[in-house]
Amino acid sequence: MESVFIRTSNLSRVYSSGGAELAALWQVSITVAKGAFVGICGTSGSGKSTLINLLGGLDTPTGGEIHVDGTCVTGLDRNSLARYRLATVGMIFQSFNLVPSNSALENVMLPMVFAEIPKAERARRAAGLLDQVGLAARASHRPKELSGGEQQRVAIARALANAPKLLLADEPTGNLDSQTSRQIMRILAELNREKGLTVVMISHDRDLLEQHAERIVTIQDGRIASDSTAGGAR
Amino acid sequence: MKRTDQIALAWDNLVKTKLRTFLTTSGIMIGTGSLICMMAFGQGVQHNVKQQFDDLGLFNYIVVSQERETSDPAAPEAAVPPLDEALMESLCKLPHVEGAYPELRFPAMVRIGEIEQFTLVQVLPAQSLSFSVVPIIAGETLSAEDPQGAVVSMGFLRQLGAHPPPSHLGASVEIRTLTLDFGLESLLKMVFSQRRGLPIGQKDYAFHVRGVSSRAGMGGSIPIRSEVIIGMQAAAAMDKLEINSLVDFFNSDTPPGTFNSITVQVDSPTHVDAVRDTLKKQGFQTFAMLDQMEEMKQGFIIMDLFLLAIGMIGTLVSSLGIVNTMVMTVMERYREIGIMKAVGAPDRDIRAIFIVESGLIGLIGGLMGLLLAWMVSHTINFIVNVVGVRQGMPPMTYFTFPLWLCISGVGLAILVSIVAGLAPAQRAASVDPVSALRHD
Repeated sequence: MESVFIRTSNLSRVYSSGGAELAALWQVSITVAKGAFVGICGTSGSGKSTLINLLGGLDTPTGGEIHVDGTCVTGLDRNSLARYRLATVGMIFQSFNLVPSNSALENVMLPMVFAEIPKAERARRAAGLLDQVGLAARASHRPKELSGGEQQRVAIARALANAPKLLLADEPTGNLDSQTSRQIMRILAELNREKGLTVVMISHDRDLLEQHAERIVTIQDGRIASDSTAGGAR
Repeated sequence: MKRTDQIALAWDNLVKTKLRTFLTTSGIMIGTGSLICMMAFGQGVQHNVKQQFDDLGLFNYIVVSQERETSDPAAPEAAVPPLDEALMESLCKLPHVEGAYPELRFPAMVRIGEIEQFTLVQVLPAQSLSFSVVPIIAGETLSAEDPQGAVVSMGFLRQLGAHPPPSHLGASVEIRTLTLDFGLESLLKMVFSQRRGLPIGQKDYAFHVRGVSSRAGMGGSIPIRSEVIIGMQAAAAMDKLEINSLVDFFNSDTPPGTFNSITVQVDSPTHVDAVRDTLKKQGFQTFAMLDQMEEMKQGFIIMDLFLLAIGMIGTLVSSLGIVNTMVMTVMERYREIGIMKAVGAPDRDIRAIFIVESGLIGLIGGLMGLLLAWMVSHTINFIVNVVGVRQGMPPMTYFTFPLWLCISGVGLAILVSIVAGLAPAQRAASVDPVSALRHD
């Protein structure tokens, strides 16, 4: 039996605004096995980004619990949550979220700064990660000098900086053309397959997910609408 | 996050916004510069006053006298030794005491060559000079074998245009004393010319320059320099009014062979208290000019606080510039803060980055302010001296930069900057990463 890496129980995130309450996520309970590649699908505003933010420790739920790798994430204080983001999670965003004034290498080195890794080791490891995503030659370039696909590959390298166990990707191909999207998906699939990383990826492109994810969870109005096996299943 | 990374990150951010950094640090520079400048002026004034006191050696003296108030006739006055030669010798043997001599000075007009000056002629026993009370730089010290030989201060001789000390050795010294003239002629004049006041006469005595001392004699309760020092033997033979102060009128019953007061010269002002304690234990009444300095110090502290308060206004105003800059920086880097949080930066690291950044602004501004204060004060000093020298004033250093002022000036700039950066840094630390990453 595959070991459970992520488990959420009755996970809810309710926003209050002007006396009205809006449930972005309502009592979602899912489990993700260690080393799985799970795709999350849904329309805009369905709550899939909220789920990713909660799993990544960027947001805190208003109800329910999240357990990742045996740790109850919902019970962590702000400092421990930061430590969790630093050591356990790597995040990739639709808009890349690179620091514009930093070079590709400096962007990849950034998480290692907070992990207090010595400077020389940071540079060595960041160069290796950029090489891994095929951007060794672009290490000194700033984000605005890179294409969308290249920027996303820098973001992937940054997500891998502190050797996380969980990779969370929020629409990583949303701003890319189809060819570049396939390239990014190949990298994520390789990381999942070869490094054993657990990947949870959001995409509105169900076909893309079908090719690489082994399981697709569809979220609708903050609830799980369907949970099915996909073509990427080994 | 390591401190070196915090500094490197903060430095990078300052370099990225050069113009803003320049303007903000300029504000701190002006604030700190004016503060340091004012404090340096205060220090300069204190230094000059103290230097003048030190030059006169005023802080090294203790005047020893007998307790006069004896309401109780059975008081053990006999326990206190009389102020005589034997006591002087024993006082000279106390630790840190350079010399002890009686307070014997009389007012006189002294003429050497063309220069005539009013001074208090100091009378010293010959042995006092061997205790380095008056350092001889040329000629010889007083001697019983040469009763008319006088020691004259270099300062007096300098007025005669003498530069190398030996040039006036042997020159004649005329000392004109004041005397009470109760002769018939004087009394008749008083009656018939209805002259008011005491029957004062004058007498001239001839001396010669036997030695030259590097500084004027000083001591006792009257801070007037004694440019000429003569021996006791010669002084005893002179008619003169020996009233140094009104107190002397009350001390007129001094037994023969004893003195109204004895001046004790201590090697350093730092030892004055210890020596004075010893003297008090022996039952003597003491007076030290150092006490007056303590009162002056209180005045200086008030002056320092006043200058500090004025200087702080500039520093505090410039700190508002830092608050403004840091708030702007946090707003501009809102998304970047979100990114840092998303990749695992804890609140304390985010806070530290911004505090270190404002501290760096303070450090740079403080150092520039120190440089500015130094340049401005030297310029002012130069101009004042140019004007002053034309009007016959000696050139002076009006601003002093002790190390503590330099360090605390820059330290204050850093401290004020850090305090100014605390609120923006806290604001950065509490940024919600989800909304920051959504922010464009």
